Amino acid sequence: MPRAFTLHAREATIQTVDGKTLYARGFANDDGTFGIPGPVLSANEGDFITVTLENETHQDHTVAFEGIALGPTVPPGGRGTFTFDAPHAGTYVYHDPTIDPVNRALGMYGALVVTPSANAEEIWAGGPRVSRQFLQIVSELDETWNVLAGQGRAVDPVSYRPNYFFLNGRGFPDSDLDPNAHIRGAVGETILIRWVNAGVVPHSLHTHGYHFKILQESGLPKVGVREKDNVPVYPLRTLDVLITLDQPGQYPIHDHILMANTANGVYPKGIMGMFDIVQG
Amino acid sequence: MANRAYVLWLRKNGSVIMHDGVAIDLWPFTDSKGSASIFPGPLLVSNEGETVEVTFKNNMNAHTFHFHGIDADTPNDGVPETWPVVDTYTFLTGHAGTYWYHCHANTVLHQQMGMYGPFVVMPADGSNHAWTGGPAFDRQYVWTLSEFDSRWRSSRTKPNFAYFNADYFLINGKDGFAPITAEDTAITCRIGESVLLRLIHAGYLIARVSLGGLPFTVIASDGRPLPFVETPSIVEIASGERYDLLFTPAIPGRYDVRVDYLNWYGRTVRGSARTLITVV
Repeated sequence: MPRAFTLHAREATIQTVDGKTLYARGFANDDGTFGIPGPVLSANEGDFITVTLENETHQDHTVAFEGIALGPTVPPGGRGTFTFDAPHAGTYVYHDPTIDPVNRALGMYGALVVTPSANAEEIWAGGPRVSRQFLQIVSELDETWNVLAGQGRAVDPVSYRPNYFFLNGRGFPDSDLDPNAHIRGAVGETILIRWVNAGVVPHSLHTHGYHFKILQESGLPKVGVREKDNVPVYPLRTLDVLITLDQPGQYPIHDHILMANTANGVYPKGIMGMFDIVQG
Repeated sequence: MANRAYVLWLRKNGSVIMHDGVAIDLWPFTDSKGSASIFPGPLLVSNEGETVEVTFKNNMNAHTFHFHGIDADTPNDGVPETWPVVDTYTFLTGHAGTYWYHCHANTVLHQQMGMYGPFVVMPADGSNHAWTGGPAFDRQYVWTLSEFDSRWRSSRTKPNFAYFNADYFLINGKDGFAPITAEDTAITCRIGESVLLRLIHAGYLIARVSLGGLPFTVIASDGRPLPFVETPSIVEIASGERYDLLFTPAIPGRYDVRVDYLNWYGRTVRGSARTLITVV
């Protein structure tokens, strides 16, 4: 089926969990709603995807679907279109690789989720079934980059020293308001979490309460399924993990690279989600 | 009723001397009142299927234990954000393998101050097997990997915990350019002996472990057998992860072990720890 997405590259400001307002860049959706991460793009296997990038900023931008497709460079005020076939069911990152990783660090990223066309409960056609699915995008920013870029000044791409860390664009406990970060479920359910690293540095995610099974990495099913409680997610990679909720309670999901559990050094205001599981 | 009970004490004014003579302030554990600090903390051991009770004797309502990978229920999980701080933790150890414990209050600082130690779960019969029905071994070692940032201990300026600039790189709490010869770290074995080497990453930087050309297999991670045995030449281990390595040397000699700790920004080697495996 043909499927069309429009992404609006835009400059905006964001609020950190400790109350700072920072210049940022990101993608708004078809309706013009801006957010970091950008809109979650959903497609089915077999879709023929058309992406249009409208550049509403003062700089050149493009959009890449990591490992899948790279769009044209679009000048300020311009528009670019490209097409590709939806990849294997799974989770993918899109981002702007212009002056990599500067635009990514400033907020120009999001996720593409591809599901099988027949059965939405399956992870891929004929694959495992889950009762609920959650998308968790981890990322960071280096405040000094946002300040420089906001002043129209150049940023040195190797000077990155992140000091704010995000789960779906927010630090804890702001992220707790997000139903993808604060996972609700019941004992007996099997759920899928799609972990996406849209940041520039690795994140080492640890689940309390449950082990998880790693089904896919960046859209590729694993030949052998590892069961772990802690795993690194490298930049621009994704992991789809299956969890059987076998006990009730509240359990964090957090980065064990503990700097990333902070907002500008203050704990626990970084990458931390939560399982909130009731007796079924 | 617990099958095993452990009592741990905190020594809040501890320190260790690094290879260059610098004393690093620590908050290490010890296993009885008045005894010297042990860093990393005392090795806790149980058998699969046993219930373990661990009591924090001088907690003063400021610290917790999180038993990483054990999947304890919420009251025994040691997370102040989900449950009030307690002194006694009780949990089932259901899967043989390698685990660790650490304080989960203001974790970014308290873990860096040395509030961690190894936890090993043996098969139900306590025999020298990696798990019930798993590979046998003649001897086992635990290498707890971590780093120190000496500047986080400076009293002049309050450190920003978003920026971790490690300057000491450890195996089992020791560092240096010369190979570590401590008997809990340097391995001496005979040809044909099977050695189970348990790697625990209690630090904040991704580490790459190589055994100087000695062939080994990776048989388990995070307290679960791998779906199939792997034979890499390097094990990359991220914060919080564990890997169980098994080797049965066939060729006598001295094997130079390297643990390279990578910069979070850019994957260059920031520092290394060394030790030896001597096969006679």
